[in-house]
Amino acid sequence: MVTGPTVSVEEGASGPVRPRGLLAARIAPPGGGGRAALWTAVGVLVLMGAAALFAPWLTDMDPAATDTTATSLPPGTPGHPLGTDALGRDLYTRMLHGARSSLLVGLVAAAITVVAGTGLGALAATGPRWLDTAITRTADALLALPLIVVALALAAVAGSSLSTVVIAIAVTAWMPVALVARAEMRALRARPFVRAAYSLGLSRGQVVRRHLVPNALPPIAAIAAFEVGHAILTESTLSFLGLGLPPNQPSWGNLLTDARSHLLTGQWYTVAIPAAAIVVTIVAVNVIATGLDRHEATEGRTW
Amino acid sequence: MTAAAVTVVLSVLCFLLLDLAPGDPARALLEARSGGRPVPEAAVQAQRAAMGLDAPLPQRYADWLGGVVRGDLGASYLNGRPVADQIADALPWTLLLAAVATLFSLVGAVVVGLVAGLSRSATLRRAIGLAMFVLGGVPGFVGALLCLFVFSVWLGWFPSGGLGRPGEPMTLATVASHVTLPALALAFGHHFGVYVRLVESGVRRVRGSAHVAAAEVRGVPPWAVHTRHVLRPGLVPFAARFGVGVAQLLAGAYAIELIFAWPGMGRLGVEAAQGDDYPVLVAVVLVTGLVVIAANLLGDLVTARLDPRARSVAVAR
Repeated sequence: MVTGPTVSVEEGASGPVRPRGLLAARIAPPGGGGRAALWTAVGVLVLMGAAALFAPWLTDMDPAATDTTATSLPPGTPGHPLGTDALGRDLYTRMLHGARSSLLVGLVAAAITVVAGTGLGALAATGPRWLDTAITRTADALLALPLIVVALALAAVAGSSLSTVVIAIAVTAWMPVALVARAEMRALRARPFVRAAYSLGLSRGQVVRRHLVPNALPPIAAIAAFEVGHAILTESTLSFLGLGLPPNQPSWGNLLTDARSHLLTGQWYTVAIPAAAIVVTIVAVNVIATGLDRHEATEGRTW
Repeated sequence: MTAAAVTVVLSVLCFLLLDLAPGDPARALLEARSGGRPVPEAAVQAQRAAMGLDAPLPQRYADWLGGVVRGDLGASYLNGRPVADQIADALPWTLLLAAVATLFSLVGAVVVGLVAGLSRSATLRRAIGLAMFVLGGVPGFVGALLCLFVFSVWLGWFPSGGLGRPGEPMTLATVASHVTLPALALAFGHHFGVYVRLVESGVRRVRGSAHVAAAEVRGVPPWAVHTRHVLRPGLVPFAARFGVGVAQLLAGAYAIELIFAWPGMGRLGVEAAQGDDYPVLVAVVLVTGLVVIAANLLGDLVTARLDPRARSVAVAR
């Protein structure tokens, strides 16, 4: 099969493969984007990452310390750049420490999702037929379910902690990665260099590691970026519902839970600041993911 | 076929969740009966045996499934009420909310998608695309908080939540005024952009086809061309995603029902999750999943109505 840069996932052995559900959200915006948007997004994320990484050096206050003499201060108060909440906790400090947990959960959960999804995809693509059927059927079935509800139930049953949230996200998000990895690897499996590798006596594991996974990486990378955004969104939702990170550990979702009641009393900024951080981060991640998607479609293919 | 597989996966998932959940249903039942006093260990063992909790896993699954089919979803750990009753109280409100939200997002997606698909202005198309892209990064609960602030706190157009004052008779007008804001927040959540894009791409694909040109040449008025000849075939990709869309709506309803104090499945589920009331939580997951499966089937049927070519495919599935 002589292929140009337009070979796509759909050319698998079993006809068109279009994962449903989550992937529906991954249609590129028409015309929008471009290089400037991409660099802005990268800049925003680098800033967010730096804020999260250097949080203890950027502020000397304790995110959980309450101060009854300085409650509900508006943003711009000397000493409290973003103001304080009803318990006198400094919002700037809590935002920085919240960035730590939110971004950490997002990255770790997405990493586990991608590794597990790629592994299951490889198993489905190279394993026996019954395993392939089992994995793809399970993935399709899970994609048809309201997944945030399943994640919520998982988190509730396992008790709230950082690792629970990460696992609940991974269990409900591996399917798109697995389906794309499977389709990609099935297409690769028929190619001469993979057949040559088999006939040279390489084991299935060696072929998967050396030939299938590296060549299937470009589309997986695009999905991986989307998974980061999805993980941040899910974590914030779970934390907001009180089933994510424990309440003493600030995350952007937890900040919103605390602030929800202040919306009606006029301290709208305690809601607006964490909400803006969540939205800006997810949009920036999605811009990069869309860029990767497009980049991959035109350039990334090397075979 | 797919629906059957999804149902099986859903039931296994729910059973495993219930089985792995901490706590002992036998002990919980006895303690609820004795009014919270400690129960002797022997009685718990006897109750476990009587409830079949010591049976092997497949046997327990079969027992549980049999109960579910007969409408027996167990009793709440918190108040001992039958779970089925609580679901029956909450489900109509969620279905109402989801139906109104579906209506809003259908109308919104068709109007915006049609404008974006038919417009020759690149600026307008790009602006709509950009707005939808940004919307895709807004979690449902953030959008709901924004709606609450703008329309309830700031403008004061709609009540901030609940369903009227307790004790007052519930009229259609109070329900309508209370359902509007949560339904708006639900309808224009982060999946609205996907629907708009599906309608837009469908319309764009159909717009250039021969039958549209033929209708224009015959002198069919533009509005009739746009609705009858462009929109109907253009809606096919959107209808094919309808079931997934309803799944997103129902999932999004969880946070939104909590924010607007709406007495539906989402609030029931979240409160059960916060109070470790696992029978209620699992029942909520199960019933929500079944509604979603039904919506998926409905989506397939609607697709078959709109696109006769898909009919044979839908039957074969």
